[in-house]
Amino acid sequence: MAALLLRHVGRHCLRAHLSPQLCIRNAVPLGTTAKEEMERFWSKNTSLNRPLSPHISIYGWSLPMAMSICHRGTGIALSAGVSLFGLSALLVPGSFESHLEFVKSLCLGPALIHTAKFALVFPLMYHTWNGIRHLMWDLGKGLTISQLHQSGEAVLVLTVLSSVGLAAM
Amino acid sequence: MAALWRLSVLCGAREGRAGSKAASLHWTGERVVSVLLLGLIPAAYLNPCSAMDYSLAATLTLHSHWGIGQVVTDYVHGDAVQKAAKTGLLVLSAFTFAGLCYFNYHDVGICKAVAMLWKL
Repeated sequence: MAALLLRHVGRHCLRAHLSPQLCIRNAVPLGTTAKEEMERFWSKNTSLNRPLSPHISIYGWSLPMAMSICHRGTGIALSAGVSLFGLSALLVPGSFESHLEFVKSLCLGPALIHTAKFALVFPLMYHTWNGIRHLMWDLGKGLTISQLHQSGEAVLVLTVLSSVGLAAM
Repeated sequence: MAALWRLSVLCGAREGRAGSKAASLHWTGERVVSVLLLGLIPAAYLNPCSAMDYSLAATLTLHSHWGIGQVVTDYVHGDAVQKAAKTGLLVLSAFTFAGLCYFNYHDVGICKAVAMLWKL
């Protein structure tokens, strides 16, 4: 600690004498960038082959924790869906209408169609409502623990209601 | 005025000054695109048209690209691997956007496609 302080003071004094126009408090350039330090940490960590201490296997699950990973999961799933759609437009022959005709010809039954619609719209609605919750946090609102739980529950209710509503359309 | 000068010298005193505001701007850009996409979804329902199709394609792929980018940053460690993953992601996003634009141009377009799918 004392060595660090001494090093900082020494640097500061040196810069004050050598380049007075650049001497602003705490403007000393660092030896390594954050990226370099991270790279060093990870290469050292992986080479040491340390066992990973239990985290998700022992930590008590909470609603915000579960909702956060679901936000990421739905995001990944939705992105995969969009990419699949885009790529198949380029690679799979036949128009969209012809593909829909093919699905219609399978005579899947209204219950299955309805379930499929619900399955499509559920992750979208969850990600959308939770996304709004995220944007609220970015504005600095609703960050207390009780507000977190309340908004989380509101998102879940809204997700179910909107998914049911949209699937019925 | 003095504060601005101090800030510019602060940025200049570091190495790699070009990237000093990049992360912050990226963050803001992510939020702007998110809000844009949020607005586009009801707008596309109320006013489906070709312009909406292309706006949706662009906003959707950009939001998705940046989102998956964050996932890569979180879980992929090591300089070379992360660079490879980010490049792969860029290729995927580029093809996705190309595919969606192709669909909008040569086929019915996103808005009409959703409407047709829902009438099933």
